[in-house]
Amino acid sequence: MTKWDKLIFCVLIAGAVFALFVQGFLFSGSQGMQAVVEVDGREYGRYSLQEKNGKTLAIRTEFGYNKIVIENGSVKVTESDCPDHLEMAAGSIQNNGEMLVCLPNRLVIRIEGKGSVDAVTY
Amino acid sequence: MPLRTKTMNAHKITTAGLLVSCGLVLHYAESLIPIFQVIPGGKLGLANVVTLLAFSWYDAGFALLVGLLRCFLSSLFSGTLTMMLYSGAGTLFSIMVMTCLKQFFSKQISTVGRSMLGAFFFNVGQTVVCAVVLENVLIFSYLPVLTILAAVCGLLTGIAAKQTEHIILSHRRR
Repeated sequence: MTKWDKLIFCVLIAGAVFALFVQGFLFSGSQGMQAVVEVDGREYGRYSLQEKNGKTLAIRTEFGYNKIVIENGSVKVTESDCPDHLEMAAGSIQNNGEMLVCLPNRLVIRIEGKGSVDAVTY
Repeated sequence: MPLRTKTMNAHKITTAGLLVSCGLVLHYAESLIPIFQVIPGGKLGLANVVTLLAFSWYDAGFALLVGLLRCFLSSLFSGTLTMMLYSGAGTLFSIMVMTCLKQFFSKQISTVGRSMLGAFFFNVGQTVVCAVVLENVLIFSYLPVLTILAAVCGLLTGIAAKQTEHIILSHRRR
């Protein structure tokens, strides 16, 4: 291992940790208002998180099948036909900017709301 | 170091087949370990040892062949067509970068550094294609965690490849 190898390792780790700090600062984490579901980059639907009785949604597209449940102000994925089920393992999301992604089914569920901030400039 | 040797002889074909099948077995074996399934696209990448070995065994064109075949076949066996698109883009980008590193910086950056940067640029390529397909820039928010994973796992695979290289280089014949 040359000294450049060690340098590359340190730069990668340091850069990633720095980016994580910046991310944590930018995303305020405020309570979200609605869940936006996108399939293949196009908006599939918007659902309010404030539903009193909760809502179950079956999303069946040419890319696959996912079932999401909206209740108690949060969203989670309960069923999916993709090989890795990462979007189910991620649990439920409720704050602005959080996302559930199912890459094989090209599904993105993200939280938007009044207080959502995508970037801050001074 | 020539970028491509002109002959595609039987030895090259069988070596490619051997490396690709080793890569597929490694890919399957590491999918049995549940720990790495936290982040979309993040994995130990043991099969990349095979791609790194392809670089030292022959040359960059050979490594590209092995890498693309591996990506195509593992997506056929345990993935979807969409995943083939994502990891194909990542594979292409990362092998291009590793080729440049081998061509111009082989004195300063050894196999280990090449492995780490290859892993990093694989994630970058995959994330860029994801962002284009999903028309969503927020997918880049996964990149920092993926980079840490790339650095650590790239280090491990690079060390594994380096140790195997000694054995291969002593037995290799053109």
